[in-house]
Amino acid sequence: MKCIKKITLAAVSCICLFTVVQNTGYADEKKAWNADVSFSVGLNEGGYNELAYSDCAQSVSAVSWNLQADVTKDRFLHKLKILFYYDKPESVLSDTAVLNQDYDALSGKMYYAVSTTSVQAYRGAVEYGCFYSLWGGKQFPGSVGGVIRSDAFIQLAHYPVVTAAVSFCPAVTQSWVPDKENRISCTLSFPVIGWALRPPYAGADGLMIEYAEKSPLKILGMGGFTSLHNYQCVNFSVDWTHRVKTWLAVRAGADFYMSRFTEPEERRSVEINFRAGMEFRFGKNRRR
Amino acid sequence: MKRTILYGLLSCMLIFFVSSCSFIGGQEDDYTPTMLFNSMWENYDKTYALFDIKNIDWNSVKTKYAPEISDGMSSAELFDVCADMICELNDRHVYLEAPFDYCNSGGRFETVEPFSLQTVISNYLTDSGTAGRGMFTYGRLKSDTSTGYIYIAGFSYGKTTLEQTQDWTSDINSVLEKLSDTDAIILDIRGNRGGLAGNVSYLASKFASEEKVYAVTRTKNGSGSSDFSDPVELSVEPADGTRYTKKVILVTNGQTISGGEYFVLALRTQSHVIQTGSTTAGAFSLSLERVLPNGWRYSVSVQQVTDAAGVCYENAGIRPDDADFVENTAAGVASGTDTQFEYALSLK
Repeated sequence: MKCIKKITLAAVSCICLFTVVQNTGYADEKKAWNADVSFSVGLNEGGYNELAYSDCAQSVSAVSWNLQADVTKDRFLHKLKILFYYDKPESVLSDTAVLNQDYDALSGKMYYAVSTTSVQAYRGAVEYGCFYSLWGGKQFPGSVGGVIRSDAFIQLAHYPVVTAAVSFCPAVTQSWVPDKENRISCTLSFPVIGWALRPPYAGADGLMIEYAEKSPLKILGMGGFTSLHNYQCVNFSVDWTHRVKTWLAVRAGADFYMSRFTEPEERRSVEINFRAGMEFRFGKNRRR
Repeated sequence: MKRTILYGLLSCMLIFFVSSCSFIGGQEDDYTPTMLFNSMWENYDKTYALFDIKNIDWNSVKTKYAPEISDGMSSAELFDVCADMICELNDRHVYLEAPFDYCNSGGRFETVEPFSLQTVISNYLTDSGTAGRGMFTYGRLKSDTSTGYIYIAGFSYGKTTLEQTQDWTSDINSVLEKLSDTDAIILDIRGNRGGLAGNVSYLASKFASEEKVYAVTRTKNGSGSSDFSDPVELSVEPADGTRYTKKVILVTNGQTISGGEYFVLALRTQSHVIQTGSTTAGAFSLSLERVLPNGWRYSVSVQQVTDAAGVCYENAGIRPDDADFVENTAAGVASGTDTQFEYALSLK
């Protein structure tokens, strides 16, 4: 608990630091702003193991859709990222055909059939980050800040298994600008506190079924407080931007995500998302 | 410099990714028969909800079967031991499925009650048809067209998603409109294999005249034998719009199971409904499927379910009143006579 308190204190301190610096420090900086908006398609490779369902690793290889927006003004950088993918994961579950028994009412007889289970996985993430540039000048600008991210994982198989989390993450970003055309940026963040919805202990329960039937939004209220004791996660991303016009750039990157929920049963997840797309610049200061 | 940084970043990510694969775990090639047996036994130990109701000492079950497990045994031998173990539960909601065999815990000594929907359609109905993607079969009686007939095959169709009420159920409205001029309906759920709670509630509401609590569920929420969630009440309430509140004769049999039995509980609360036929299967608990690392599937009953008065029908099933208890005979059905159906007709 001491460790959690320290991290929470550090996170709150970061927010206070932003506020103070914003109001006192760099007031004379140019007020120009620009917004880089990119849309990219990616390949998401990874897997997860949801023990509330079964000890059965699901392997994911999906096309991902990504939207990113970086808005810079003065020394502030606002980052918005949206990720979505859908996949039919591979595992022994989907690869194994098993015998089962069913009943034919027309004839009134039981019969055996062979079935496989089709697993469907939906993944969505929305992330907003606010960073303040503190070091490195124009060639190696580095920023610290905070990220609020929302992650959702839905698995549909024999029954739905839903995990969703909203978390606050201290974050740091470091860029390298070797020339006018190129920029490489890395961002690292990890959640320290948040709110998470996990499957019930047994996998599903009466209350969840009642909510799903009558008022699905109430399911979100079944979540609980999370911190490092029950939710560990690391997000790391790398972006390379190559500017071909003042308003247009090619952007490629990768996101690495690793998480572990411990309650009520473990859910472990790892993914790496390679993406590439186009970036469009808007704003008053189009020159990099 | 550029290349060094780029290669450095890519190498770091690759190392991260490769090392993280073992982090996920659950790989399919690192199991043994002992591990599979223990995994299955432990899952029941932690999440099976009916040990007390069925008066089963699960530890003694392990003591009985664990010595039969050895890492050199074949898959078929392992299946037999695991199947024998779950048969101790005598629970029709519990099964074990492998590529080469199937076992239902409550079904080893199962006798399928004689029934044939085809016999009903051919010998007793006129103007018959289907609706709701084939889940409803309906018609009127040849002998008395003022009596309607609806057969409900189950309470789920196709893939289960987050939605608890599926769109096919709304076809009941057109069926009821077609039968709205009848004096009574024989509502046949023999062989109904159950399904989603939302579908059960929706269809029950079409035959409800008053709001009633019909079931109370408690779900396992911890590994302790008394770790259960707060009770959740299920109620049936009259539907808006089309519904049928004239006489309903509900026909059940031993293959009416799970959601089908919830439907019986719901309609038994209504004064215009009579249950006839034979006793239902007696499997009420929410049954959740698990997967073993070798791909075998099994299910666990994770709930205790009672009616509003606290009576638990698990294993016993819901029996019609003695006066209305009727069983079909195999010879009768083979010769085209459905005794349960004919008795239902006499109740009109």
